[in-house]
Amino acid sequence: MAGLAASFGSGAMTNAICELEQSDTIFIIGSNTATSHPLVATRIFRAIEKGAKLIVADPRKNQIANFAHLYVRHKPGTDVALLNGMMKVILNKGISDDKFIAENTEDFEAFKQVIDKFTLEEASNISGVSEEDIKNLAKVYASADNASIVYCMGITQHTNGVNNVKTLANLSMLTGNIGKPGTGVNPLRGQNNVQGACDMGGLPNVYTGYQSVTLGDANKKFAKAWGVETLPTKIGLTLPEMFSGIENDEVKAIWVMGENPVVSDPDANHVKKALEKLELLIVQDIFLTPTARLADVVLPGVSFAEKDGTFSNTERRVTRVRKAIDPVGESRQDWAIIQDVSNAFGYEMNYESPEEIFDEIADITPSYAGISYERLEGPGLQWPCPSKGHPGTPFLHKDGKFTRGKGLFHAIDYRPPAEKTDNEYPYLMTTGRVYAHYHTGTMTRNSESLDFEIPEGFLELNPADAQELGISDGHKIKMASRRGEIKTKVMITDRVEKGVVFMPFHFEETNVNKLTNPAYDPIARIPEFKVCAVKLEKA
Amino acid sequence: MLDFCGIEKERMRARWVSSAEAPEFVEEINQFINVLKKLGPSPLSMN
Amino acid sequence: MIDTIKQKISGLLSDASVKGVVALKTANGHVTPCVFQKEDDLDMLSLGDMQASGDTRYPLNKVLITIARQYPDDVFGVLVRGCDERGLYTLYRLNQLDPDKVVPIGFCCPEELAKACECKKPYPDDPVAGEKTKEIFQNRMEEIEGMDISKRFSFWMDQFSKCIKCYGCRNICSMCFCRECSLECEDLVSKGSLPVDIPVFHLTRAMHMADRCIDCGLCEEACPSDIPLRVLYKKTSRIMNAEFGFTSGIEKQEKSPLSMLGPAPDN
Repeated sequence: MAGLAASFGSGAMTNAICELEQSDTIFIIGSNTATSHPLVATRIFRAIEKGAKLIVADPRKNQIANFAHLYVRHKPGTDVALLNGMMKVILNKGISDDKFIAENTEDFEAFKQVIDKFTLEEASNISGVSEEDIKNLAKVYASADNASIVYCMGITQHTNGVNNVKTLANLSMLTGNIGKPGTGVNPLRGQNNVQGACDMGGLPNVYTGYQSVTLGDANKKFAKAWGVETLPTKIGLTLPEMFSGIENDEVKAIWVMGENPVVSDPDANHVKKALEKLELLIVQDIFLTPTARLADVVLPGVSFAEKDGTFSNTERRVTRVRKAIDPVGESRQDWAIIQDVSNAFGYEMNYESPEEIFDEIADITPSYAGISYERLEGPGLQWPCPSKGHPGTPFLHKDGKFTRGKGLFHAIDYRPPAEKTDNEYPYLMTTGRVYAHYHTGTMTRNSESLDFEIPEGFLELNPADAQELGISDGHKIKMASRRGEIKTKVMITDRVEKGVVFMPFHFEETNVNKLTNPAYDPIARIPEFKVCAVKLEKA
Repeated sequence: MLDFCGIEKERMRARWVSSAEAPEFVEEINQFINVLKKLGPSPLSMN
Repeated sequence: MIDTIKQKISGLLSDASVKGVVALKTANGHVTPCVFQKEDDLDMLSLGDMQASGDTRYPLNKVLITIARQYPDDVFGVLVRGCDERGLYTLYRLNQLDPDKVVPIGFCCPEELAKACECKKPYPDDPVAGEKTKEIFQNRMEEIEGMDISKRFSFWMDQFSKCIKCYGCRNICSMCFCRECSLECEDLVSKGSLPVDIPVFHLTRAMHMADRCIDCGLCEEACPSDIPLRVLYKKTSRIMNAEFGFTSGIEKQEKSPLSMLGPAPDN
């Protein structure tokens, strides 16, 4: 999101999901759309049936790649090289949208210099995609009337994740594919409400609606709203900083709400040790997760079915969630738990309902100002919705009028991932999801029918590698990185190319995150889940 | 239904043969093998 | 039309001839299934028409099965279109509902909806409201039958390849009430990867629909991948009709030829 915010001024999907049906070209990169975002895939299938072209770039030939007019398999972590190669072709052939660039963007020259220095040959060598394919990708994307880019964690979970996103933003501006229906740069958010969590200031540097904690104005406004003299202007800690803080004895207590870092964070052995070192670990969740099992105090929160409130989804749409059943057992509304703790600390909170909290959000968040429970009956509203009569905003940056003023080109050189293969660790491993499970499986692995579909972890291995290792389908393999070692079942498939292996991360018993690299992007602080070097051995 | 899905219906055959009728069984299988050889590889095999 | 239906339900509730009526309500800008037990609540009654006629339907028979299992001695009303009534007849035949415990409240579909569904009987036998419209010709099926065999093959394989194995087609189907499902039998359908076994997954389900599918089309509406499942099952239904003269749910008392022992019936 940091990348899109820097390029366009707003960190969210630029266009609405249903607009994908109006695209005549869709470029998917680093997204296993059919598995992870099936309802987005529906719109893509509809667009294809109406004649749209689909182009897909992914190290793994996932389900939606089978529908692509052109699929390219680039090496994990080489996205910038591939994309810069495409832009080289677009500039060389003169098929860029020069009018759009001149009128609506800035810093184009610095960007162009980087592309000028880069060669198509380098792009091909680094990414492993033929020059011909890069040319074709570029031609198809640039010659479209309305081209959408769809991306996901395959782009962001890298040490250069922000650069990857900025490069996609460059590509859309270079061809003027932004600010119109059916275009844009569209990150698919992994959770129903992860956009909402960010919107609500669930980041170390902002209040609600991305109002910076370091800016005096926002600070004063929030201090006034919350009836205090001043609020701190210091930026908080990101997740990797919290863990290094534990090591340095700067962080003594953590309150984890609805997260399962023991399974979801890279270098899991290290994470576990760090959490054990804490003086106080509080975990608020709906199940006793592996993280909750380490906690000093477990607070039982509620599931979606037990609560009232709102979710803000990937297309910035705010919708109501309504309580269907009473909280099970001793569980309590999450907001009520927070309120009680706050009152015990001496800062009084007296909210009666989620609606009252929502009204406060609307009061102090410009992009939510026009939203109220009353207006959320039916299909909801897409922010920005700045006033009561405002209809909401399906797509951002209309007619090239970017949120930040002009769209900003970034000059970005290719940088390799943090970890390379060598003689000891000769395979590149990438991680991801499977259709039956969600994230660390806290909910889905508790479902009998989903657990039936896929009960355990597995490693996808190319047939040629399997032959070299002398291993057959379904057998056990030992996989180790510089950080840890696991044993898992093998699935032999040409979805992955030779030298690259894939493993889903949902499974605590075969926790692939014991192996992943905690090296992170310097800006967004997202760890490099998608690339690490491993060795394999018959178990 | 196979035909409706674009798979030649000749590729499927159901016959009742008693366990005591070995020669009939052999004859049936041989005939079916000939039919399949004529039809060539199934379009499904290309997936 | 809705007022006539409200009156009918109101009558059933006021003389206590039913314990409740399974129908639809509008609430919070959405349409959802609801068991009406009080006449006062009927203000919220909906026929499932949001923007267009019948664009928001639910498997009300399935809701009714769940309720009937919990309250086996009580009588319930249920809102039915032509397809839902075919569903009721089939569920009576398969012993999932007791006809003495069900009071259908039928209404006819308008012509536009009947056309969109290519419905063979867009009305219940004894409608409370609406005008009976004609049977509609099965264009979509004929179109596929008219393709040459290799085109038909690639058409269906492309469609099936979109499947994300969500089981939505099965889960929404009122005729799918089995406790054990062949789709979850590992000897028939392998599990654990996408795309699903093609065409085994979809044809297995189609086979099981042969004497059941009542052509309500909810499967196709529920499918997140827009697979034209309804046309697939229309075909199984047509084969049943051609071979045995049987169409699921058209005649209230008719037995399925697939559940009879002995020589084939004459019909």
